[in-house]
Amino acid sequence: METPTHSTVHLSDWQKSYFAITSGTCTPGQKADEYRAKVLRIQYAWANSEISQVCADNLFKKYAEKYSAIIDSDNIETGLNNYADNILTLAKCQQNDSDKWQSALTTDNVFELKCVQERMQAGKTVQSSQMAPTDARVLAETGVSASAAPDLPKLSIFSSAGEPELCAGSAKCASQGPDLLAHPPSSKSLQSSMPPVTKTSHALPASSASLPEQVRTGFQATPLFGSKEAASSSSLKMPSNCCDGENVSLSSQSAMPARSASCGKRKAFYGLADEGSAATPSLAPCQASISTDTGSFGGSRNRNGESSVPGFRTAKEQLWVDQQKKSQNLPQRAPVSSYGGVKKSLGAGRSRGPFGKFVPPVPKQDGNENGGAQCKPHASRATAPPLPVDERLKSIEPKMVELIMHEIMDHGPPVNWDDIAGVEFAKATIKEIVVWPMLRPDIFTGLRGPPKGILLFGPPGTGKTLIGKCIACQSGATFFSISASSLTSKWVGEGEKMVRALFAVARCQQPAVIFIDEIDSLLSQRGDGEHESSRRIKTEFLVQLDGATTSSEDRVLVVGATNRPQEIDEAARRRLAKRLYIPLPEASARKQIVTRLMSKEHCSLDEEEIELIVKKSNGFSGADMTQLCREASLGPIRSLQSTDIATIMPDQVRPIAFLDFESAFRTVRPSVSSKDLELYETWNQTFGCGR
Amino acid sequence: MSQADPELLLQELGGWDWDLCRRELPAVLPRLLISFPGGRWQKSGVLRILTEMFLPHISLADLEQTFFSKVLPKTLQLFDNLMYELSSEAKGLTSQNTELCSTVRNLLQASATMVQLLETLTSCVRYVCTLQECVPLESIRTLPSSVLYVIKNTFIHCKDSESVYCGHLHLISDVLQAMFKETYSLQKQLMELLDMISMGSASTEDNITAMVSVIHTVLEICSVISNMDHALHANTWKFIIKQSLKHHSLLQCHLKHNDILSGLCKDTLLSFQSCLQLAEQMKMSDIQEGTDLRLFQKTVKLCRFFANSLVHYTKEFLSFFSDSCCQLHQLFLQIYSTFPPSLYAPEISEVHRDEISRVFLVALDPLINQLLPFSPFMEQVLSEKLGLPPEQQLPQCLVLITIMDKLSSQPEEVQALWNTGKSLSLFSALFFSFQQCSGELSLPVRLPEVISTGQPAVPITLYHYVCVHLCSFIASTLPSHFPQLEYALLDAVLGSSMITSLLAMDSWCFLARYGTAELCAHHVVVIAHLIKSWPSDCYQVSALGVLLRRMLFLMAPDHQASIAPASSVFNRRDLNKLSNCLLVCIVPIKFCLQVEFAHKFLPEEEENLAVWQHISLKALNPDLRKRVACQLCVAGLAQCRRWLNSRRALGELQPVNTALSVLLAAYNFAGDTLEAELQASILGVLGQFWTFLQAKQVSDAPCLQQTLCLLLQLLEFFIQALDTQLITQVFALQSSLFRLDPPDHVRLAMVDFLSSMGKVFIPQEAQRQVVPQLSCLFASLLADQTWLIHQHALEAFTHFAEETSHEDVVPQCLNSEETKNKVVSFLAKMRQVEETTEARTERMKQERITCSAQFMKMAGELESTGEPLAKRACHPPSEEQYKSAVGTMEGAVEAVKLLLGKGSPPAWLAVKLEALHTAIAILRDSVR
Repeated sequence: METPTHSTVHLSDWQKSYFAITSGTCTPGQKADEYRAKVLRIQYAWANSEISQVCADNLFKKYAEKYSAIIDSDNIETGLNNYADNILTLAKCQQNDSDKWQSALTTDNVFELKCVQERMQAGKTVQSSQMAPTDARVLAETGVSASAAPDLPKLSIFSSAGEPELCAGSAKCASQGPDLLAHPPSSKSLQSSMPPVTKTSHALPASSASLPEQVRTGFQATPLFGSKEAASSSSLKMPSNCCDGENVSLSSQSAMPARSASCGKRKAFYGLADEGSAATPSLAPCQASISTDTGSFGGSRNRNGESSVPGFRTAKEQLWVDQQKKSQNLPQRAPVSSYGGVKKSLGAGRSRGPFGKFVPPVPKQDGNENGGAQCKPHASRATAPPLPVDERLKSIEPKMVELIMHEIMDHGPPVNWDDIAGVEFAKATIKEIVVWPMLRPDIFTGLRGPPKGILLFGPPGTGKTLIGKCIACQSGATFFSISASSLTSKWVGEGEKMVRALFAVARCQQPAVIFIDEIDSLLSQRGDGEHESSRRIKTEFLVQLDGATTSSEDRVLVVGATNRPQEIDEAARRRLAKRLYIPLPEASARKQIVTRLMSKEHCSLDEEEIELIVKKSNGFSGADMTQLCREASLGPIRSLQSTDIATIMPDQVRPIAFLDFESAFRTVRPSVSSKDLELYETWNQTFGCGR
Repeated sequence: MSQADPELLLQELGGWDWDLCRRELPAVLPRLLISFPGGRWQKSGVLRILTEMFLPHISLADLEQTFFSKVLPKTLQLFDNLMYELSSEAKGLTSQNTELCSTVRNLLQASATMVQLLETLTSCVRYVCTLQECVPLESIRTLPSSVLYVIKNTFIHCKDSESVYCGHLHLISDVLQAMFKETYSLQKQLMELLDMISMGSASTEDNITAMVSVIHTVLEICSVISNMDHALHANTWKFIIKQSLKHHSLLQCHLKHNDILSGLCKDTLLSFQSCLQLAEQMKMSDIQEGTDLRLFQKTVKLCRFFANSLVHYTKEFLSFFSDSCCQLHQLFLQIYSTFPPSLYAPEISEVHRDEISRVFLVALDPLINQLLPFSPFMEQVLSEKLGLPPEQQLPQCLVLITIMDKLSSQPEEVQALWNTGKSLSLFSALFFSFQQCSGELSLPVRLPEVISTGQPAVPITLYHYVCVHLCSFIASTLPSHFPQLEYALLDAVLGSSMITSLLAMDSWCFLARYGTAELCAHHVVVIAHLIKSWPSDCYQVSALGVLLRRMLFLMAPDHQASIAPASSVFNRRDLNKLSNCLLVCIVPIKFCLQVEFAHKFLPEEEENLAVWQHISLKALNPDLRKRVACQLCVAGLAQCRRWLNSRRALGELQPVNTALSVLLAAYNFAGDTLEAELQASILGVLGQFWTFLQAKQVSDAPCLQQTLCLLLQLLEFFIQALDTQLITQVFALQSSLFRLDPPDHVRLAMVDFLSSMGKVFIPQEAQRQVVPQLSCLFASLLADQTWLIHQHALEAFTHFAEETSHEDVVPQCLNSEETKNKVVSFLAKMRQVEETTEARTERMKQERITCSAQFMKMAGELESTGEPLAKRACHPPSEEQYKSAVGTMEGAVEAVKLLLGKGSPPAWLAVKLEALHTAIAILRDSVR
């Protein structure tokens, strides 16, 4: 009956269980599972008539025996102890009345149960139909006796004689139980199903007769409820104190998975945020401002494209870049598909039958439950960017979120490391601790994880802000550039809310860099005389930066820039773990600045002259250098005193010469005094993280 | 003021200022209403004028009377006209003719008018909103119903746009969108208004009716927009729930709770299914990026919203759900039947699965808590006649488990409801449901583990899961519900599903350890009595036997050493006295209980042998074991001798078989304690049996087959003591029997026997005869058609080949190339078939049909022998009965389909099917 493939599959299944059990490396739990699998296979083979019932029975007994040896054993190596630890973990808070349990079963009334009666009846029917002829004999040598000749009907006198007696016996007890069976019809049916009985003179087998006898005596006895009550109270209960122990370790256990789960979630989110900008603009509500105009979208793509330094481009990034190129080639794709019923359609109605293509034009709201109530009809603002959807922003005022999204997030021109002259040490350090971890969060975990905050300090005009921007560009992070004064002054009284909102938005846009210029004004030493609100802002900032509310998995980096590092609060100093000194540009850096700035101009400086300028500009900051070049570049114009500025041709202006620089040096002075420099040097030696 | 021409009146009105409007209001209003019977352009303009210029001058109290009751019917008429026009012109769009352009233009204009109408209505509603904090319903009664009418029909139009504009949707879509948008804001405005409505505690019938009809209309709108927009849909539902709860006491008797509930259930299920669909698509396309994921997350959140709404609504109106709580049950079943780990669930990734269960299913969970005390729900869940389709069997089982988990923390009366209610007890229902899950059990389906100490959390099999949860529920069972538990356990042990028996045994064993020692002892005695009285050789006996054996172990003394001195003084006659005196001694009670057991079922009495054959003597303490083993052997021997010395009638063989299995049990578990003398006499008796056995007779008589099997098993213990003659006899019989094609259990016994032959050195003189027979038997068994026998033969042969000293026999057994290959690959632990997960799942679905067909058959056998039909109560048949009957029919049809797939059908089948077909046709006619 069974097709060969099926039995082969079963055989293969069975052998797998067999090999697993015999392998010796199998835990008791697995063994129990494998034995159960065998029992199920036996059941199926029986149901499918591959084996007889007797065979199924024997096999069941065999494997149930082996199975129970594992289940019931309390040996920790080989047994499962009835799953007691699992069960008691689950049941530990529940009532335990097991000592009051009273069995309602007695040896008498158990036979009155419906399930028992029905099955005993069925069993008897089967037995009597299978009964061997009573008059057949097993004889030595001579074989089968004459009476067991094949043409004799194989019937048992036992069935005909025994059954009525049994029925009579149980009929007596019919009066005892309300739901007992009515026997006459059933016994009739039993009898009628048997062919006529041949008369034989043999006596009934003694033990066969004893069976119905037993039943009858059982029924006639009066039920003795509770007669088995014993005085002793000793029990086999599990030791109760084990529950406490489990409780403790359970809680510590459950803390671990929860932690790792949240970590996993965080990572997943990080990956998504990375890809977020790859999605079709209108469907990326988080990237709200990107979606408003394609120009800035292109810009961000461009920036992100540059950021994929060849050495660090993972396969995912490659895919992303490819997709970017595609979407560039097909700018019309998103709008078309949203109404065409192609796969990427808007709304949930898709693939739901004929109405799938109708797309409501009303801007979708956040799917959360309170979306509708607070929403005012804003039909005229249909083109407005959708509100942010992240759940973490729910508690934040939408107005603030919008402010942060629109005003603070910076989408300026991309900045390269090469655009920053000098400060090689700072650049190297930042690459190592910030950019790489953001590009490869999978490698930089645990102790390698990036710091939460960086402090860039040094004299003004040395490129601290540029470094901050560069971090954002090169790590592909969202860049929030915010000046401390805007936090403190613009929203008086709501400063700490603003800070909270800022961090909340940043967390939604991970990885993110929050750049705070003039951080000293935000995080100055906390003192008695200061204003209440600024104190609150400070506290909130410190909490957000590295406090109870922040997760270690957050990839939000705060970069602070200051030229008054000594005024920073010590708690803030601790949180801004990497404190990098951005010194005045060295000679080589100054030269780079000059060369670079002059390369765009029409000038006639030779190598020596440049060296001279660099030498003379000792003590100049980057900004001073720019100022110097600016001044010098005006020289040729000033020299045109005679001619009218309005009529001159651009090519008539002479190239910038060393002369111009000499005169510029007369007006441009270094903005940083040597006394100030000393201060920075001392602070750097005390708290700085560099040379 | 011009009296005649309405057009002139309109022109004139254009110049009116605020005060003039107010003054002229009473005069102008009726005129405006009367003068414009048709002409949609003007009418629309009029509506706007009315709303903008005159509405502000009417006081709130007069609004209904002077304005709404007059203006709104006209507006509705206008709206209907517009709608009609739209649809009829849209129909004209079907043919691509030259008029297309103009038709479309008309259409656009019509739509534009429609948009205007909607705008006007919106501003009308908005105005009412601004009037007062709390608007009494009386003063605006016509407004909500009229506006809802407009909203509903507009949405229907939008929804049907696909079919209405067939293919020209793109020409009109922008206008249509404007229309949708307007309707959207109209609805929002109306909801805002209705939020402000006050009904007062003693509202009039009219008010109540109006409010109820508002809610019901919004419900209809809900079903219209369910596919169109998530936010709108959710907000509409939110409105319904909010309003129903707000006016709870006034409306509760008037609302169509059934409709609301079924709408909620339907929408929950729909959005859940679309979640799954999205997740499946993401899994198939293997992308994890933005659009799909975000849509998926949104849909999951929508599901959560529905779940929360269900919970809220149910909480308030539970008492009205008597008839409809089956919908909630169905909802659970349907959700879990399409969610992993169901076999019928789409394949989705782990992350999405987690998300769905974390966001949505968690929110649905409290619903069960609320429903627990509700008895109609209990009756529904525990109903015997659920007749669930295959995919809902596992969900039902999981729902029951969930209920169990929650029930122990519920008050006593709730527990009583579920355990001692009218229907099945929760225990029985679980066992019944578990039995139906054979497919999931075989796969096996895996579920999250109960976290226990010191082990890594891995998913566990369904069996393990159910077992742990059931046992934990058992642990919390109240004493008053204990009888139900006992009954359910016994019923399940005796059931026809082996795995369910196993579950019941496992739980019973846990119960035995968790409960008192006396309880365990009592159960052992009851089970032993059952076995004693049971007609032998039913499958139930083997289950009971296994249970008894396990329970007896749990009775075992904990500290054997402390008992040993006391028990060494035992002898049989003192037993009674001693057990009495031991009860008051320091000896642990369990030992006494075992003694008591041995005393109750005295081993030397033949009628008790039926019990002892199932018992593992290892469970007894050594001295008791030794004594009992000895007594059993003596009694068994006596039985055998009596038969051998009698006429050896086949009909008297049954007690002999019992005696033989008792001997087997004694040897199996206490063979080492038996004295040599006794062993010798047993061997002698065994030898005698072999002289009487004839192959022909054995193959004809089932009870003789059983004797043979037992003899073979017994011989394994004496295998090294067999003399030449006996070996020759045994093999001769087996060989000749094998030619007669013995049944499978005999073959299995032969396999076991042959595996033990490895220990034997066959005497030189017997070798010539025995060795060929041995190899021939092995060869045939290894080539057995039944895969189970084949597998056991493989195991046996491996065992034999490892042990035997007759290395030359081994190759002789492997006469065919195929067999050799199979043995070699088995030895190499190579699996022959690797099955894909999908194929396996499919196979399990098929196999489940076979299994349930068998359960049905066996249940049918019980029915026919059990309760006579005449005694059944004569109620009119319920719907459940129909369901179950039809379910049975479907199952049988599936089974026949399966059988047909496997081979050619018997000739009568076609005729029979034809007859069935006719019968079904008659049934169908009688239903009509």
